Amino acid sequence: MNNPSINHVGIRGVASCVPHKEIDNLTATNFSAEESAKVISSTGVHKRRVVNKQCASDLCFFAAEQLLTELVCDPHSIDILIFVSQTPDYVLPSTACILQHRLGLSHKTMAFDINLGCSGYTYGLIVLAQMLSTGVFKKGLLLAGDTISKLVSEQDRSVAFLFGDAGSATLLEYDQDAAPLFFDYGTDGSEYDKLIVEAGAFRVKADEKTQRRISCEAGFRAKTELFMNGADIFSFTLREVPKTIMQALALANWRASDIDYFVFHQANEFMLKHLIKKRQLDSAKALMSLSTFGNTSVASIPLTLCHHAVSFKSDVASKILLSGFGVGFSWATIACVLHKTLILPVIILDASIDKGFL
Amino acid sequence: MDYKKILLKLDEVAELSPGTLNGTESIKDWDSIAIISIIALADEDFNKSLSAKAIAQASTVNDIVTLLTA
Repeated sequence: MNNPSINHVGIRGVASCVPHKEIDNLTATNFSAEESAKVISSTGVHKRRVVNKQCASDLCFFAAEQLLTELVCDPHSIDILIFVSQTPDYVLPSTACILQHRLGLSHKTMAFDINLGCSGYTYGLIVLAQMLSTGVFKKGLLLAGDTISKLVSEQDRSVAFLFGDAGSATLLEYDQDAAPLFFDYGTDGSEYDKLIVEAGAFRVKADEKTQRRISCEAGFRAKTELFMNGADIFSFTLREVPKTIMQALALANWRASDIDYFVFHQANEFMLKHLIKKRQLDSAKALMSLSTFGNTSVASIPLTLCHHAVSFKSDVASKILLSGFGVGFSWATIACVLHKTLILPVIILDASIDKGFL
Repeated sequence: MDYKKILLKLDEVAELSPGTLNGTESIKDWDSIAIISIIALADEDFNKSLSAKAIAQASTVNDIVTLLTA
């Protein structure tokens, strides 16, 4: 393969939306104050927001609606819609089809889902940008969101404090003058079972037995709920992420010091601090949102951009490095320039609309 | 890094006062945060990639020292 780079695609805007309900990890969990404080100091997650009934698609919908309005973009001009999530509305159809209709996009829209989590935003950007780069399609919406709270056992200490829900929308456009986007990527499925919801799809169907919570190392969890082996994920991250960061920088011919902002998947603070230290990155340039929103899975990178919206000016070019890594295991890193990109501040849903789309 | 220094590092990992560990202690009760801290210590101070599985197979503090220095 030649140098992985994509030409002629501009990132026009990013919006992110979180639910109204906020949880304070110190007081609102099933665990003792001492236990809570210990986990919080390691993960760095103080607060997070979770849905009541809403789905990831609802959060993405509100983000997309506002983004299209702010950019004065006619929904009928959208050629592609990609929804990236591990918490879709239904087993089938693809949630992207439902969102095409809800957003009022034309019937001449190519809409499909991608099932990825931590690495999903950067994968989605690469796929969409590749499709737009030929000029056949002009505009594409990447909707990335997850409601991992719906998969978590609140009695399982290893995951109960970590995850928040969020949805995002990113508009990409064919643009002959756009700076190239460089990317590195990879997959290692040998450890697919280190971060998994084992039951509920088709290899292991959900039934009375798999839905029953049983005792596990970190509390109680059902097979239909999220299992996470944090130590194995940490080993994987240390093995692959420093390499993929350096590779993306090398492709772009940039040094780490050239980057204005690093935006990593917000896995947990301990891991990110270690990575930043190991690669000797300037921690002031590594944008974070963990403390306020938790690990929001596929939405964590766009949510972090929006959380720091004041740092970005549409008329000033910023060199950024985005890196997503985790569940799969799967990883992808992008080095690109944000220019004429509208980054909206995080949208917090009003309590009155905190219900599902029916 | 000498043996004493490694033990002091492991005191830190297990959130014990410096000088507590003598090497013979069992690590079976160490929690996942301590395991992750050992992986971080191996990466940072020993430039070594330790798997969670290798740590799970260790039973004493001295086994961890061996993993770090082997």
